Amino acid sequence: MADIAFRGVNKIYPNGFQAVHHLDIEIRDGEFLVMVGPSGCGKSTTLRMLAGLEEISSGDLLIAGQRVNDLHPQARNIAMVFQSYALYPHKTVQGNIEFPLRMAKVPAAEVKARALKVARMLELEPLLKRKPGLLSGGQRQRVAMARALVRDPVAFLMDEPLSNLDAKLRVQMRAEIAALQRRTGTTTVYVTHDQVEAMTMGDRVAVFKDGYLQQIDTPQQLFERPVNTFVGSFIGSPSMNLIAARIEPSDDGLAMTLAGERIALGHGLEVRFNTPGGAADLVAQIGLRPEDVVDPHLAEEGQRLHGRVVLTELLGREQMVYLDLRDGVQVVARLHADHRLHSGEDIAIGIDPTRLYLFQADGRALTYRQVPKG
Amino acid sequence: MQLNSSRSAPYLFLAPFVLSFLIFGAYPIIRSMILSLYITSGPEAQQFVGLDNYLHLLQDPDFWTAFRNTATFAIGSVALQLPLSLGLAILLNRSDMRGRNVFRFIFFSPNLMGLVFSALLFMLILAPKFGLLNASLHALFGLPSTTRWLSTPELVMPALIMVALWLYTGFNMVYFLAALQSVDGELYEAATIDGAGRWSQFWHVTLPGIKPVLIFVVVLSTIGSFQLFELAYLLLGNGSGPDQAGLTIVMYLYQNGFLGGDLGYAAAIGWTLAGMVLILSMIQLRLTGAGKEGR
Amino acid sequence: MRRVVIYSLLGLFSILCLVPIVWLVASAFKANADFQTYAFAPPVDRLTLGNFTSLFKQMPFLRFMMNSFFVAGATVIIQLFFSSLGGFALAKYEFAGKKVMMGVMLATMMIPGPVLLAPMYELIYHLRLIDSHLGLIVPGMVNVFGMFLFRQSMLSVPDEMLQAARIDGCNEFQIFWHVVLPVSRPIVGAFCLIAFMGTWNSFLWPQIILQSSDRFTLPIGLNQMVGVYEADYGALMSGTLLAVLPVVVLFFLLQKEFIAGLTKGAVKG
Repeated sequence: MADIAFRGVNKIYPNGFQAVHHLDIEIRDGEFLVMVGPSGCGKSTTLRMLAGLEEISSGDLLIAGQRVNDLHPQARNIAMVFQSYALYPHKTVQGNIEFPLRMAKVPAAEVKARALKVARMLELEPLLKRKPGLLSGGQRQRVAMARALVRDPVAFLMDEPLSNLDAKLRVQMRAEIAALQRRTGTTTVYVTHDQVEAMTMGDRVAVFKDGYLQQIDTPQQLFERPVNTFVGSFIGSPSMNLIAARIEPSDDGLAMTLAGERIALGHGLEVRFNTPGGAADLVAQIGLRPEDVVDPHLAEEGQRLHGRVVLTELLGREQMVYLDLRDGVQVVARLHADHRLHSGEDIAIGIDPTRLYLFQADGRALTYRQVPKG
Repeated sequence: MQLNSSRSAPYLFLAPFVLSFLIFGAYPIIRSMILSLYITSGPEAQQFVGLDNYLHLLQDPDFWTAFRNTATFAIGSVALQLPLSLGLAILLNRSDMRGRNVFRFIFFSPNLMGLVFSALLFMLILAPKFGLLNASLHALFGLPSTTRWLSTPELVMPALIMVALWLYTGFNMVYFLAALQSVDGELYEAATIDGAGRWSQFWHVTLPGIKPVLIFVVVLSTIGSFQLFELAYLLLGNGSGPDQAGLTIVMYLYQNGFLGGDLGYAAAIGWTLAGMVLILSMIQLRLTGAGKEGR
Repeated sequence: MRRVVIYSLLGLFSILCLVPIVWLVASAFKANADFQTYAFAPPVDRLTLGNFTSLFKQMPFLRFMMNSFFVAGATVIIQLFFSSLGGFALAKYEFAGKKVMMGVMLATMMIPGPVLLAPMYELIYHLRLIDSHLGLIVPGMVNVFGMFLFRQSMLSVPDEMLQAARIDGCNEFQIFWHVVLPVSRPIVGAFCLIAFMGTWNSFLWPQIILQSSDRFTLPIGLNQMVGVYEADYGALMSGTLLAVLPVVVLFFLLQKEFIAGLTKGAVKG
């Protein structure tokens, strides 16, 4: 067991493409860290550098305080579960589980005992003599986990381990993996492109884009305090609406103009922005999560937007409503389905200013404090 | 253990192969080019003659006899074998076919005999009087049982073509069958819905689908046929047959180089054969490739 | 009706394929005197083992067979090792010079074998390997076709499996030995059969370099019989039958792999 640290790590491929830019991450002992991002964001490359499958171009990788850049994968004593599980088709389940121990020249009796223990833990005992070809997807997944567990590694690395399973099994295995990690307490680094997996499984989540680490934080912090529009819209489903806006002083604190309408922001509070120019004529982007759209009747006066319904999707108790607001702004709202809306209807939606995310024009989050007026 | 051990690994893995390839593949090829410029007597005595070997070869009537015989054999066997193999493969590829594997095994079984042992067997099958072929022709069609297949000049090549047909048809069929089975079945369904009959399905679905394999087999069969040696040499009792009717290019190479001791001349014959095969393959690839691309 | 025609055609061709083989078996047990009398097969009570005794009396047949086994076995094992390892390197690694190397090898595949006979003889002569089994084995070590066969097949082994092996503690050779080679079992089977058949049936090269009859392989030995014992057809056929048996046995052991391997290069190529 050990903590892991990336210190200024870069990955540049021979063709000049830089997959990872100056990465700094500290992973605590026993932590479950999820790395998430769209494909090509550098998350898998980072994992593979940690595994020792990719060379590190520059910077340091530390495991338990020791620099391991040049160590062979085995010497790092990490275990990895692959997207395709990468089980050896010619070996039985038992053969697969025992293989890492055999390669490490562990005495035969101990190999058997440890393999059996892990197989029991993962309920694989009845399957030990089978070949992987005869197993279901979930069983193969468990064999891959067992092969990783058996060597008692300092860290588990998992590269999209659930993406080959069907939706139902995925939810089940998600819980199983998380539970297993809590039980063993092994540091785990988990790569996925699925933000739901990231949010439900990770102690902390690292969001990547274009080879840069965007933000690393607890799921709740990521959701509530995204550092930029990318993280804001990547986390949460359906995605946050991003609307261009202008923030200006008004009689009642601050107000903003978006989608051709004026919304009072202050509501009796003064908002102080931590930007050099303060709040004077700030061009900004507003993040509005679909589920944060409120019933217009519950919204305060001056906190409503108007538009026309383009399309609705019924999701049982709720409905997704696609709207054209003024100035050609399009938003998605998640509304209660008590009153079903239909395309072509003109409606109003309510905005709760305290639930809005504020970003600068370049996408970085606007940090602000609300203080009592006066 | 260093991470970059995987960088030297491929070189290490290739080393045994490449080393033996350089000594027993690349070197002999180059050496053979040089050798073809010499007249030799055994491996010790040699004299540089430039292109004389090649010039002499072009005027060597025996070489041209060998060329004619070999070409006859190649054309005859490719023209008979491949349509037959393809036909059998198509019959076996029918979806309602039962016993496909049994037939495939039967058709392939002559190949297990191997070239040399088939030749020994057919030497007796083709023998006059007690040979199986004459006896069968006599029993079935009342033909005289005295036909001397291997000592009548006009019958030598037909006999060789026949044996090759027996030996290789099933072998090529295995290729064709595999190719046919890799053609997407939905294409046939789509073609049927589009109103294509069996014949136009063959032209528009089957042939394009197996084209790469077809070209592969045509080219390989031609190259192989041009290297005819064992079959003729063994069937004809270690000789070139009556009136040189069974003399092939490789047999001529063998006679000159290893019975006559002129390795230089043998090398020149080898390269001439290589040139012919190369040109022929190019023509075949050009014809099949360009002919279909336009459609 | 259509089916009747199809099965008749297939049946007819099956008979044409099988009759010579059946005739070989029958002739192996047919007394020489009966060759003239019974063109197809003699009655069962006239079958004899005399041809086999005569065969063993006339020539060191077992010796020939052992020679053939030794040469074919050694050649196949060396080829298998060299070709599979080389094919693995070409399939699963990127390295400088790879394209050039593959191009050169492909090009040499286009050159017909007989071109090499004269220089190879010279080479083997200078290595003092004329009239030796090593002289048969050594030039046969290189099998470019086999290496491409392995490359083709190993391309389809997923990279993730290699990485898993690396993480499980394999060095690069152990990845090959414990994972890639076992996974490629079908192609190994196919390769062994193809290579064995090729060597077992090799005639021209042994004919050129072998001189002493105690070193003869089966094809050379049996062919020798044609000249010397012209009249003993029965012994010749019994020898031929015995010579073919090992290939048949090997084929039955490996036939599934063989069909798959044979067509792999062609269909995917």
